[in-house]
Amino acid sequence: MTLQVRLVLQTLAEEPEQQRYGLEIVEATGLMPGTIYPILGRLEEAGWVSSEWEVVDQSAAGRPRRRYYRLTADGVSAAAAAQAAVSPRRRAGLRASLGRVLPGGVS
Amino acid sequence: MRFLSAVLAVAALMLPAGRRARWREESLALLAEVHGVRRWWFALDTVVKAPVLAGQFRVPVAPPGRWVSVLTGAALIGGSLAVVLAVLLPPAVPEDAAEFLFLLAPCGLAGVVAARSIATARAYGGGLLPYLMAALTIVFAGTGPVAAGLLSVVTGTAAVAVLGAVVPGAWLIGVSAGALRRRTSPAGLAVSGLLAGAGLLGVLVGLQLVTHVPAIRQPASALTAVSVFVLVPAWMVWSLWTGGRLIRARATQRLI
Repeated sequence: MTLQVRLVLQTLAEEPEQQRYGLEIVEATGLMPGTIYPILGRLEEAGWVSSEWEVVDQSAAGRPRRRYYRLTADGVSAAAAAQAAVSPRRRAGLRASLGRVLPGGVS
Repeated sequence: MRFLSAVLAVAALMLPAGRRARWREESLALLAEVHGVRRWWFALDTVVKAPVLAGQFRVPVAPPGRWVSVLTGAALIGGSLAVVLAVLLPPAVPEDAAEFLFLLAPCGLAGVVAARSIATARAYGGGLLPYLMAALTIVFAGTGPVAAGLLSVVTGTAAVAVLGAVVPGAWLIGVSAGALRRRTSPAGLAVSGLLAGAGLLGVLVGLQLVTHVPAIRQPASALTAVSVFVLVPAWMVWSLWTGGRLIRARATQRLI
């Protein structure tokens, strides 16, 4: 599993019941949108993530509807396993490194 | 946002038809929520990485039929033998015939390029853009410098010939590098393909530069000469090996 996939999983796993949309994931991971869509697509294909369109009146909201993502039960287990596979020290090091390198940093 | 919407609509053509609308709408929604330089930066990133997403949606396609495989293999080997004949039998082969064989030889690659490009277009879900890309690849990579040379003469633009000369070698390098990375063909075959591609690139570009850019004639000639030494053995190994594999036409084997 790549570091980027782990970051996306970690973001979604922080509050597994909460749905997140593209920009939230971009800002939480520090990854670019072109990177997260293929990752989310793969995770969805694997059944680790489910997604649905926001139900909103687009003209009233003044913006296009968002696509929301959340971890499935399989995804929660996979995210936990992925995090356990990385030692806390290494995880902190990786996140700090990413924060310096990626646009917007890693929160 | 109208301009970005149009750009995304064009970029979406890279994706299979069933996936375009969602990607476009989702990307547009994200871009609508950011502003200024960041919006343009995100839009560029989204468009540039669309091929990654398209690659993810690739579906496995059946290898070409037995006779297609046999014919492409025979054409590849035939093209190589035509050059050998033209070089080794100058008294037996008249000059005009030798020139024709040299022109014909690169076209031996056309069958392989066509079979592979069409399979790739199908794997990407078909549609206008994948098949257009396949057609351009067949014309410019499959016929060596022939198509680009003709186009250059018709348009009166030397740059077309120089750019066209890059395509066949670059195609072979790309295909062989992919095979080496994914281990879909023997490592020796992939390495010989890489060397043949590099040689082809050097020879074709060198010849075009010698012809069209007199200022760098000397280094271009040197590039051509060095590339010939790389190309001749590497091409013979690659074309005979690949041709043999295609003629055997094992169903479980990828095209190259």
